[in-house]
Formats: sequence, structure tokens, C-alpha cells
Amino acid sequence: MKTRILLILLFSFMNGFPQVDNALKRMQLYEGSVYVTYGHRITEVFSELDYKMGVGLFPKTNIAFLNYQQLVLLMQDTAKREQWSQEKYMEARNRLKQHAPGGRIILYVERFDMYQTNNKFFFIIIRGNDENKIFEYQLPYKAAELVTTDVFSNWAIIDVDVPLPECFFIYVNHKMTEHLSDTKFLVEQNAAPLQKPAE
Amino acid sequence: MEAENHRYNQIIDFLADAMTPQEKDQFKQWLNQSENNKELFLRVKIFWEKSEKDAHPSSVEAWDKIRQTIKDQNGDVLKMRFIKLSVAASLLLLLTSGWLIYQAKQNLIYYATNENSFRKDTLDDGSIIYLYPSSSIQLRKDKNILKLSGAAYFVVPKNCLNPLTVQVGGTNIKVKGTSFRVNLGNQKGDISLMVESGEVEWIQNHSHSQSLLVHAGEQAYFSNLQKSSWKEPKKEDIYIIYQPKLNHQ
Repeated sequence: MKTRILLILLFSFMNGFPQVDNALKRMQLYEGSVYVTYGHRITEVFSELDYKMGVGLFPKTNIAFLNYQQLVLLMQDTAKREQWSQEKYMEARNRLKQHAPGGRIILYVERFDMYQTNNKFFFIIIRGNDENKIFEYQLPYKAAELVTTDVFSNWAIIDVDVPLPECFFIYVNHKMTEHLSDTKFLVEQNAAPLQKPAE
Repeated sequence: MEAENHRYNQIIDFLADAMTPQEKDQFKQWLNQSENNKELFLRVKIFWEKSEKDAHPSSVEAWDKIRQTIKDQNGDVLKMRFIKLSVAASLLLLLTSGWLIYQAKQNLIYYATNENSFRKDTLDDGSIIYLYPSSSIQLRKDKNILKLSGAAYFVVPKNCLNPLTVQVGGTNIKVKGTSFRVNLGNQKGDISLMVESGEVEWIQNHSHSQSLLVHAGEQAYFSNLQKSSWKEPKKEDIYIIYQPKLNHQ
């Protein structure tokens, strides 16, 4: 139950790795949407987001997930490309081991209120299949960015400092809403479909 | 000495029953004259009886005995030769096996990772292999064949004369100077291959004539169930696979 304090770590090996993939920004998800991020299948189980379709306002709460192995691979690719020293490599490796054994969640949100799009209003809860809480994280202050005159966005990288099971739920909640939970995702690790495309 | 020999002869004549009654009486008188005489008689008698027991009753039996001895000796010789040959053959086999194992070990490289570790290795030809967790590779250096179990990322320089072949899940990937990622992903034996640069030729073992040339920016799949492979442009890392129909509010 203890809230885990995490750092949003922008490691030096992140250079070259797009912090928020454009595909993640573009996606418009609804209840029941199924998508793949980095080989992991994610299903939006439910969402309390208020879509104002009449005026074309679509709020977004999109997440991507990278597991620990993928983070290490990313780090190794960067280390190779930038020819890191052994010392730098070990330092980065140890940081990952310590702060992200469960992997990394990348969160991207779009809202229509600049104040409420600040990251400080968002918190994340991860629960297992049995709905027992595994991890909780309160996002720190980060001001919103402007997408268009009406739309504001924000993003965060959350390292999970506890190991995660193969399948788990991620709840992305906003403090200012009346709902107990705002968006629930099911993450199934390494479950990207391998199907022959229709001819 | 002459007298002694004479006594021996007399005792032997007595024992061989080769005396006249008169000579026998004289011999018995001599025997009773002293204990020394009796002792001498007994010694000669023992020797005589032993000689009689060992004596061959006939030449036929003697020859049989001689033949049997020769046969036994021949048998021993053959047995000895067989043992010597066996020992020599075993030693030769042992040495040959040892040499072959030594050679095989010299030419064999084996790397593996556990479920939480990665591994990076550089081969003699400059190839770099990143081994994913729970994976292993076995490289035959002499034949440039690498067996992969699990997943790995390869960066391999071009080698026209002796290109590297990666064997994975019953298929062969002939490398033509490239970087690519292979994943023997699941228990069904499906394989995914993603080529970042260069190209690779993917050959299915059971139908050697069918091969797939996978170029940079393409990813290919092999379905173990359908025994077929196909390729498609590399997907983005994030993509939607199902979108529900929306009810307009």
C-alpha cells in the first residue's frame, strides 16, 4: 500500500530514443481498443473520458510499456552507438536494475484544460490479475504543453521499481474527476499477435 | 661313496622286488642293524613311491599329456595376443575420441543467458551478437554455423566465401552482411525476423528450394504450424490492432 517514490529518470542512454513515440501521440483509443506497443498487447478495458464528438474534442490517455529486457537492449544499443566506457555502461545498468526492474510506462495525455493537464493531477496504480495493488506512483509537477489552441498535452516516463507479472492492469487516474478510476488498461507482455496477414 | 650307491641300489632292488630270497634275508639283517639304516630305507622308499606315482604307464598317455600341454600353451598365446590387441584398439579409440572432442571444443563456442540477463559477444570475424534473456547460441567456427535458441540481435560483416548461417527452429538464415533480430518467440515454434540493414536469405529446411530474401526495413515470419513464411514492411513499434465502433454521443 505504500506509495513508492520514483524518479522520472531521463537517462543519458535515452538520447536517440524518442521519449514519446509519435504513434503513441496519434492513437485515439476508446473502451475496447487493442493495440501493441513494443511487442506488448494493451487493451483499454474502460475509460471515463468525456468525448465531445459534436465539437471534435477527443481527450487522450495513451500508454506504452517497455519491459526491463527492452530497456537494457535500448541501453546497449545506445552504448554501442555512442561507444560508452565500461564505467558509464555499468552505471546506467545499475540504475536500471535499481529503478526499473518492472519496466517503464510511457504516458501521453491530451486534455482541454491547461491547468488540469499538469502532471501533478495524475497518478498511476498497477494491479495484478487478482486486483491486488503492486505499484502506485504520483506524478510530479510538469506543466502542460500546447498542441493546438484548444488542446493541451503532457507526457511522463514512469519507471516501475518492482517486478511485474506477465499480465497486469494499469489505472491512470486524475485527482480532479469524480470517478474512482478514470482509465484502465490490461497489459499482456510479449503478446503481440503473430498472424499471417489476410491476402 | 661307492658303498652308499650300492646301498641305494639294494634298497631299490628290494622295493622293486628284484631280489632273491637269500639277498632279501641279508638286506633285512642290514636294515635291523641300526636306526640309521631304517631311516635311509624310509627316505628311499618315499622317493621310490613318488617316482612310481609320476611314472607314465604308457607312451600313448604320455603323448596325450604332451599334446594337451602344447594346446594349453597355444591357447594362452592366442589369449594374450587378443588382450594385447584389445588394449591397443582401446587406446587408439580413446586417443582418437579425445582428439576429436578436443578439435570439436576448439571449434565450438557456446553462450547462454538466464532469464534476467543479456549478453554481448564479439566473434573472431567481428560479428556482434546480443543475446536476449533465456537464449543460447552454439557456434561451429569451422563451418560458420550458429544454432540459436531464443532470441538474439546480430550485426554481421559481409563474408562472401563463408557466410554465417543461423539455424533457428528448423530453418536456416544465410547472412549476407547485415544486422538483424531473430526471435524464436513462442512454444509453437513460430519465428520472427527483422532486418535492419543489408539482407538475409531465409531457407526452410524441409523445402530447401523455398527461400525468402528479407531486405532492410522488412520483417518476416515463419509459422511452424503452417510451415510457411512471409514478409511485410517493418511495423511501427506502436500500432492499433483493434478499434471498437463508437456510439456517437
